[in-house]
Amino acid sequence: MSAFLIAGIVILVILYMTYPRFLRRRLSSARFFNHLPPPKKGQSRLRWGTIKFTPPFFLQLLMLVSLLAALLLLEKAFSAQEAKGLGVWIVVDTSASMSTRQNYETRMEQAIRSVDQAISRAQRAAKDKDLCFRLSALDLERRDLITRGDALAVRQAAATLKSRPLGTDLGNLHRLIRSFDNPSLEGDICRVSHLVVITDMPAPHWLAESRDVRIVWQDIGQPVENTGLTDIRAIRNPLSGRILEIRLEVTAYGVPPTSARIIISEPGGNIIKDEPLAWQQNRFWRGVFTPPRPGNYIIKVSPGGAYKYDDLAEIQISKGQDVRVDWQLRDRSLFNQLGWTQENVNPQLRVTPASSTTTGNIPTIIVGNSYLKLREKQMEIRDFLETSPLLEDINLDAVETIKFSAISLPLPAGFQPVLRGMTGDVWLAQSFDPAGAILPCLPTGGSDVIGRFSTTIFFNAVRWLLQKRVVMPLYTLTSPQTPEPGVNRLVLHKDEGNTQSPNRSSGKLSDLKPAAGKGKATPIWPILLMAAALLFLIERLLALL
Amino acid sequence: MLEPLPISRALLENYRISSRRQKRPGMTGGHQMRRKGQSLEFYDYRPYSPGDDIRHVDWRASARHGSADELLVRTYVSEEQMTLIISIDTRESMHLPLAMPKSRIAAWLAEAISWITLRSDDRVILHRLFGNPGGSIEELHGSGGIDAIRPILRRFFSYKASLDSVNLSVLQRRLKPAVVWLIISDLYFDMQEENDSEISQGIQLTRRIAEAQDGMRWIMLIDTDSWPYERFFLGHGSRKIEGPDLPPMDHPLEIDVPALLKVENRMKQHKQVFRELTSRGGSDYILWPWPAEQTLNPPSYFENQFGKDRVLQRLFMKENQ
Repeated sequence: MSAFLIAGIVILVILYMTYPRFLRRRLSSARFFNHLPPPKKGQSRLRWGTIKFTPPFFLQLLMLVSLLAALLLLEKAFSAQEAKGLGVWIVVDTSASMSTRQNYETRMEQAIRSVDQAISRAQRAAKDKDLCFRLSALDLERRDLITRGDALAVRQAAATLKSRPLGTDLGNLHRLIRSFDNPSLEGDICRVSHLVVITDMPAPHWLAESRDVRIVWQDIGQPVENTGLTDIRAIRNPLSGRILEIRLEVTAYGVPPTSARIIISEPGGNIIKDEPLAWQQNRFWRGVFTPPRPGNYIIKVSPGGAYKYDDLAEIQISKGQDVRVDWQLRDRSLFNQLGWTQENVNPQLRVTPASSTTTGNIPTIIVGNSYLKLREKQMEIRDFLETSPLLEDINLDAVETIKFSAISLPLPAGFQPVLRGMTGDVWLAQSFDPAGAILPCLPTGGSDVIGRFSTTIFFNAVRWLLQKRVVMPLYTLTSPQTPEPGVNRLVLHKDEGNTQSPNRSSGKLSDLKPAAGKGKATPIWPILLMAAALLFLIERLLALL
Repeated sequence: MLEPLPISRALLENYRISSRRQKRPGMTGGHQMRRKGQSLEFYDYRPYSPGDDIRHVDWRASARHGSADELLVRTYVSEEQMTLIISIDTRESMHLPLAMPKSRIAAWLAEAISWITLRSDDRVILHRLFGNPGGSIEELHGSGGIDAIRPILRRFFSYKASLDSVNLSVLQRRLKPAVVWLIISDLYFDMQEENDSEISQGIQLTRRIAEAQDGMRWIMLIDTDSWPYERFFLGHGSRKIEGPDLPPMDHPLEIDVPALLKVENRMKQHKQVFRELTSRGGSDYILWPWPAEQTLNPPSYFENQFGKDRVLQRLFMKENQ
C-alpha cells in the first residue's frame, strides 16, 4: 500500500511538471481561423518544465503525504506532554524518636533544616512555573499545617515543629500515597507532584505504589547509642487480679553500656532496687521486682542514651482488684474462704444453683446437687471435650472411679457436653456465649479423688470464666489526645527507642523538578487520515470556486 | 448581470435629441422634419394662399417686407416625436473576449442612448437582432420608459439561442420613414450564401439595411471590434483556437505573423463586403476598436469612446455646443 502511495506522489509531481505544448485561446473571431494550415507533424503534445507550484499541487501533495505517513505510522502513538508546575507536599516526622540527639542536635532540628533545603531545591527547579507547598506533621496522626502555601509560609510553619512523645503510624502515610491515585481537590489545595517525607525511619517498600506523585524519602536518622525500657508487664493473681510481680525488659541499641543500671524507687522515694544491667544476648536485660505495697513506683534506666523517653517510667500499683461475684448458693463457706465480694448488680462471676434460670451475659457457674461416690465398678466415659478448660489437669482414669449423678437434660441453651458417660449422662457442660459451666457440685474439700476432682473442675471453671473480665492494664501509651507521659502513661511506643535502625532513604532532592505529564498514548494515524480528508475537501472546494 | 452604466446621469443630461433639420441622405448634419402645422416654434414666412388661417398673417412683416397686394403668413416647426430603433447583436461572439466582453459595451451603449432619447420624450424600440422573435422587441415612450431599459437589456443578453437566425420580421412595421436605426454588432456573422434556397444571416441583414435607407431612414452601424485585443492576447506560438462558429480542432495552430495577417485580411474582407452591401448613402459606420493591451478597463474605455464619438454627437447635439 505504501508503494502505491509513493507512486501516486511521483505521478503527481510528474503531472505538475508537464506542460501542454500549446495554449488554449477562446476568441470571438475564431471563425476566421478555420482556413489556417495545420502544424507540422512530429511534435509531442507535452513538454517538460519546472514544477507548477500551485495551490492544488501543494494540497494534493500534502494529501498523499498524509496518507503515506498514516500508513507508515500505524503503530506509532504520542503521549500528550503537559508542562506542569511543582506541587511539593512535605511531611515531617514529629514522633518521639525525632527527639533523639545526634551530631549535637536533635533529629527534629535536622529535619527542619531538611525542609528548608527541599523548599530551596523546589524553588530553583520550578523557575517560572507554578509552585506551591503543603506541610504536614506525622506521628500517630497526620496534622495538615498548610494545605497551600508559598515557601515563606512553609518555612515559618516548619520552624515551629516539635517532636511529640508519640509513636509513628506509617499507615497514615501509606493511605496518603494511595489516595494520590484518586485526588479530590477541594478549594484552594495545592496539586501535589512530589511528596517529601523527612523522618528517621527507613523507607518502606510500598513507596513504589505511587504512580503519579514522585516520592522523596529522606531518612535523616543516624545510628546512635541508646539504652531504655522496652517492656513492663504485670503478673497478676488470676483470681484476685492483684499484681504479684512486675517484669521488666531493657534493650541496648548499639554497644550495651557496661555502666547501665536499673533503679526502682517505691512510694515515698526509697530505692528498692539499684543494680547493674547484666546483658543477655548482648542487648537485652530482663528482670522482675515485687511491689511490696500499693503506690507509685518509678523505674529508671541510667544512663539512658540519645533517646530520653524510654529512660523512665512511673507506674501505680493498686492494692488489687476484688473479685466481685454474685453468689446465689445457700452454702457461702467457699465464698467467704475465697474472700470474694458479693456483687448483685454488676458481678464478674455468677454462681447459681441448677434450679435457677440464668439471664444476661455474666459468666456463670451452675452448680448441681449431684453427688459423687466411689464405686467398685468404673463409670466408663463415653466421650469428652478434649479442649475444654474444665478438663485441664483432669485424670480421666481417676474420673472413671467416681459415680456421677447426671446433669438434668436438656441442657440450658448454649451449653454443650464436656464429659459424658456410656449411658449418655452428661456430667460436665460448658457454654461460650455467654460463658458458663455446669458442674455436678461444689468442691467437697476432701483430699481423695473426689475432693481433688471437684476442686480442680471448680477452679478450672473459675479461672476460665474470670479471665474474661476486663482487667485494667498496668499502663497506657501516650496518644494524640493525651500526648504527655505521666503515671501509668508511658512513651513506650514500639521501635521509637531503636536508634540503630538501618538508614534507608529513597529518591533525592534533585528529583524535585517539574515533570512532563504522562498523557494517554494517542495513535497518530487517525489524525493523519483526518488531515488528508480535510486537504481533499479544501482542494475540491478550490476547484469548484 | 448588467453592469451599472459608467457615465453619470448628469453627463447624459447634457445630451438632447436634436434631429429636426432634415437633410438629404449623404450630407452631414442632422435630420429634421419640415412640416407645416401648429407649433410654438417660428420657422419661416410665405405668401398667403387662399384657405390659410387668417390668424397666422403677420401684418407687420407684410407691411415691411411684402408687396402691396401680398400678405405674409408665419410658418412653424412641426414638433413630431422621433423614433430610435436600437438593434443589438447578442450572439455568442458578442460575449467575448472575456477580459472585456462586447456585450457589456453594447449594453451600456444601448442604455445610454435609450436614456437620452426617452428623456427627450421620444420613442425607443429595443430590438434583439438575432434569435427567436418572441420577446425580442420592446417599445418605450418618454421618461416613463427609462426604468424599463435595464430589465429589457438584461433579458436580451441572457437569451441563448441554439440557432442564431437574424430576427428582422418584428421590425417590419416599425421601420417607418424618418426612423433612426442604430445597430450594435461585431459583424461576425455568416456572409456566405449556402445555396440558392438559403440566404445567410449576414446577407439578409445587409439587404434589410439597404432597404431601410431607401425610405429616408438614418442607419447607424456601430462595429464593436475586439480584434486588436484578441490579436494581442493570442500572441505567437502553438495555439488551440476555440470559439463561436469554429468546429473543434484536434490540433493546435502555429500562430505567427503571416498567420495573423491571413486572419486579419479575411476579417477585413468580410467587413468590407458587409459595408458595400449596406451602403446606400444613408448610413454611418462607426468603429469602436478594443485596445491592444493586457489589462482592459471597460468603464474607462466606454466613457472615452462615448465622449469622442462624432456620430453620436450629431445624433444628440450636446447642449453645450
